[in-house]
Amino acid sequence: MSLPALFQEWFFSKGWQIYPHQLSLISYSKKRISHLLIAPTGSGKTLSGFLPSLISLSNRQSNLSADTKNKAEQTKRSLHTLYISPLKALAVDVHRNLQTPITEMGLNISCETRTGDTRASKRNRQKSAPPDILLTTPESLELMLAWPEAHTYFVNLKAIIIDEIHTVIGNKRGDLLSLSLSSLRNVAPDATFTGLSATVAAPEQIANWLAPEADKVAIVAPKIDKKMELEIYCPKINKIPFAGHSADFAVTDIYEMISTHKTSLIFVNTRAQAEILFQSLWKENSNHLHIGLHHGSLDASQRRKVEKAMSEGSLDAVVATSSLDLGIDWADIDLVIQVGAAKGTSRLIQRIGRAGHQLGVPSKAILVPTNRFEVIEAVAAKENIKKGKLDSLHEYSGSLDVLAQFIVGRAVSGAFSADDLYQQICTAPPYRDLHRDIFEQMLEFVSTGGYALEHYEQFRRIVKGIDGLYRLTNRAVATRWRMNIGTIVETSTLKVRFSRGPALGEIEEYFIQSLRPGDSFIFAGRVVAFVEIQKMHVIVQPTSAKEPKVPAYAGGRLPLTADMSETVRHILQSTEMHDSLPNQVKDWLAIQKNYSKLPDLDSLLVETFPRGERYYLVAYGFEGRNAHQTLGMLITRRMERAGLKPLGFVATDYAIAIWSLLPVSNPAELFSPDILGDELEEWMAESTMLKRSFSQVATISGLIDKNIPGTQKTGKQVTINSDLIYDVLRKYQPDHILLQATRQDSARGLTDIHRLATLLTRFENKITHVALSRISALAVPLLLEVGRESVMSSALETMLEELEYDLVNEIS
Amino acid sequence: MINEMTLPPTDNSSYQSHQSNTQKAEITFCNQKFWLYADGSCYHCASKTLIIADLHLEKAFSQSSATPLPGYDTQETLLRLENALNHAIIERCIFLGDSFHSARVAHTLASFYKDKLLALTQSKNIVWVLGNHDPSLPNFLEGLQCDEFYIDKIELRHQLVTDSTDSMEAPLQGQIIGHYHPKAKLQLRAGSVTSKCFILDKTRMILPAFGVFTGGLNIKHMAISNLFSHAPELYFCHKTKLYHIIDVANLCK
Repeated sequence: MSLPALFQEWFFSKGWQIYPHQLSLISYSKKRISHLLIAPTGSGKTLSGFLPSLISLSNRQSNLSADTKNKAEQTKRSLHTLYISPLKALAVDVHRNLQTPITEMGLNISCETRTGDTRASKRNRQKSAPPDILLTTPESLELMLAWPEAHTYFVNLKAIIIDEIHTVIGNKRGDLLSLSLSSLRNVAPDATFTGLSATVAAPEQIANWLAPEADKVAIVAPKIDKKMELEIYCPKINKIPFAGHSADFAVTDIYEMISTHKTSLIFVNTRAQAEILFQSLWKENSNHLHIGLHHGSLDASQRRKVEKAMSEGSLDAVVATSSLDLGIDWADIDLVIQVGAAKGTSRLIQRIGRAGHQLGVPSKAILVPTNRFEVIEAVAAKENIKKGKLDSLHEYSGSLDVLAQFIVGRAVSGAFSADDLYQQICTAPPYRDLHRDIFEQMLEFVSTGGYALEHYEQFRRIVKGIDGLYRLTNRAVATRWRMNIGTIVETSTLKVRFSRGPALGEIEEYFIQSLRPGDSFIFAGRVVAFVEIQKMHVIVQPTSAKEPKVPAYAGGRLPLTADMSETVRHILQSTEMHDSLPNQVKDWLAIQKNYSKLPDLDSLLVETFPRGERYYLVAYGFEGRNAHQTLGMLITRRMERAGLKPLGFVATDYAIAIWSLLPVSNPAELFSPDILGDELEEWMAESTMLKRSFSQVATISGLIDKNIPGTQKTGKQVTINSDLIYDVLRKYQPDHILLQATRQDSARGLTDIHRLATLLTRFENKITHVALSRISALAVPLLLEVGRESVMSSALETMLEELEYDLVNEIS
Repeated sequence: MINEMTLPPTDNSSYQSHQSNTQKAEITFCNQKFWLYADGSCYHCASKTLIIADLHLEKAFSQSSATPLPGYDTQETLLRLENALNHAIIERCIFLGDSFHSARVAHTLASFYKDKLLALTQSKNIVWVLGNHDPSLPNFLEGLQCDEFYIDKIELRHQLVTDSTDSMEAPLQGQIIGHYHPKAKLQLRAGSVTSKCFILDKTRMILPAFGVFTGGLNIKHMAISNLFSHAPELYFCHKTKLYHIIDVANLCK
């Protein structure tokens, strides 16, 4: 098995050797076997994915008659290869990269991108005269599959490549993509699937997602030993903070690191942190280094500028969030700095792999923990990487709200039979266990809303004809659907710009509402002052104000993974490992051991102590913030019932602290798994968590449309709150399919019930209760968090009353 | 052709319908005493008149060709109306416009709802002020139908008359209108709360929308803020309580 001559010459001219895994992919492609490539960055992964197509298309070229300039020949082109990437930017980058072999080998292959940013004229042209290779996103694919002509457009498709496939597994976007792929399998029966993935714990899980018959997917996982040089930063003079995520104590040293390297990539966890660190580094910038900023709220043009400068080698460092996690290697990065905990081994490996992109050159990375617990997490990460212990993906069944969106899309492309559609949906792996009656309920929802009200029958959106096939009843449904597809439900944001000039980026609406004209804040790497809001745009002007605010962004706070938390527990328990920790942390743990106890693997450590006028209970669960948040809600309910008068709680990735007016004498009663029965049901019934989930479900399923034709301009939308609908639906039809979808979502998402259940079951009757007379060393970070975290929602009621009381007093 | 509906059994227990649960606020507007309720209704004490705006009955039903909202809103709104009619001794009830989401659904209202509505409103003098959504109403509805109504020199109408010659100033002594579905967003230490509200100054009061799926327009929007030349006050309706907000500029976003 070898390359065609043309390709061999090209590889030779580049000074490259073809890898065995690249040959495997070509071989599987020829045999029309779907395959999955598991490889780290820098292994020529993207090229591997495309080589089979390039070879196949170049063969076609040489088989044509000499007169290939014949227009008739050219218009017979149909789509040969479809490449799907989760990021628009990635599609654009891959396109650029692909042009290199195509141009250098003189191949007559047309290659284009199609994303939300593609202009209408170009999109129309792509529809009537398809290129050979189309690079696109899941959302654009969804829209294309809704063409009535989808059948003819995709019929000759030979290859479908899904890049960064590990990022779409186990979430709604992936669910929708999986359904789209099931449609593709229908209209393009000849196509072979290729999945490109980063290193994961269980490749079979991804193979399972790629094709309905997992055993027919070949897994190619070359053993590439990418050496990593991983160092954990320890400050020489400054103290490592107990809590918070500020890197202030390390900025000077971070600057030193980037000064001594060619190009550094600095990863942080949130956009706010990125902006702050960027400002701090610039304050230190005595060597006039070129430092860039990259995150999801910056305008696309700003991000492109930074990416271009990186690939040209003109930047010395870039501060970025997960926005730069994925992508091909176009920059010569020799150092990766991870500030704060990476929250997951796989994510960390992916990031570290960005440095030293050629194989054979070790990837160099420095972890900078921003508080004491993060130091332990960093050590855990290093341990896991050394042992090759990666995060596993949990089993997951497809979201129901996505199904509704998909059914409408199917109707948009033409008439369908319920039986056929159900069969097809079941070939999408996340939906392989979908019950027929759930499908029927979804069909009913799409049609009339699925309510027990007969008089709705006259307003069907899809209707079954005499021939037994379902069709759309009117075009307005199709228009609405096209305007509202996708699964990314954004919080409301406004664009930010100077009074003249392009957009700088987007900012959350609620932050702007807290500003007065003249208030300054940092954004897109600058300090700006708020001027006014003009037509949904926030106008700002540059300013040199001294103490600018920092915008907070919703989202972006991922919890600690289960695998990581296990290792953290292990490290805490193994005192012999503590010697390798920085002295500050080592001493801190020693104090904990002497005064209280160190958490261990066999029991749940619960400490109680009085402080001020309150009694505190601290439980070290290590199951991540979401699970702990839920636990806090449930335990405080139980405490209220028991008359202990809880006042509030704070949850972090490592532990939970609850304070109350009366002490807890028997924690074991609070932490029994039966709390997941009644208390959970009750809480879920009342809580705002469910309402938030419902709001998402309502938008994705099409119950509420975010974008309505004709209303974007005025901004004066009298919107129906999804909460109103939720209340009514819960009262009159509690088993409605969307409420079922909401409960499913809630259990999975924010509430992390699964992890909570694991925690409580594992430690049932295995509580180690330490009653102390004052706060312990390990509890200090938690209490420091109290000021930062927001108050329980029931406190809102109290606040309203206080407000009224104040006002009444004011008046009288 | 609408079929006879078989509605699911209603469960009143989750909505307490006692007067004591719904707090009321006593105000003086244009020298008259009124009681405002958290459900959005307004009671004129002297004439024992209850004023309710923007019921938007059958809203879900009329929108279902575009968006399949759950059609239980009419039932729920009627339930709330029933509760509101128990607030005090009521001898007259004025619906301040947009009682139905469209004239068409008013005319073709299902008999179950028709019966319920008639039962609720019998023995009360009913006044149906017409709104932009329901410019005409069917005859089966008992009571007076009109464009505007007066209680002691206070004008009650659905929305303002946009007369080009007149300014936006309220005529006579005062004016009570609906139409705008006012809502406010209170900024508190613990977070923000958004809810419907009454908004008023010395001469003009806008009632919140009473209906279940009515949504709202923020009082900071030009369309509402332009209507008040003196700094307005709010009565913020949150669950079963009312909160009097004076410092609107600072507390509302």
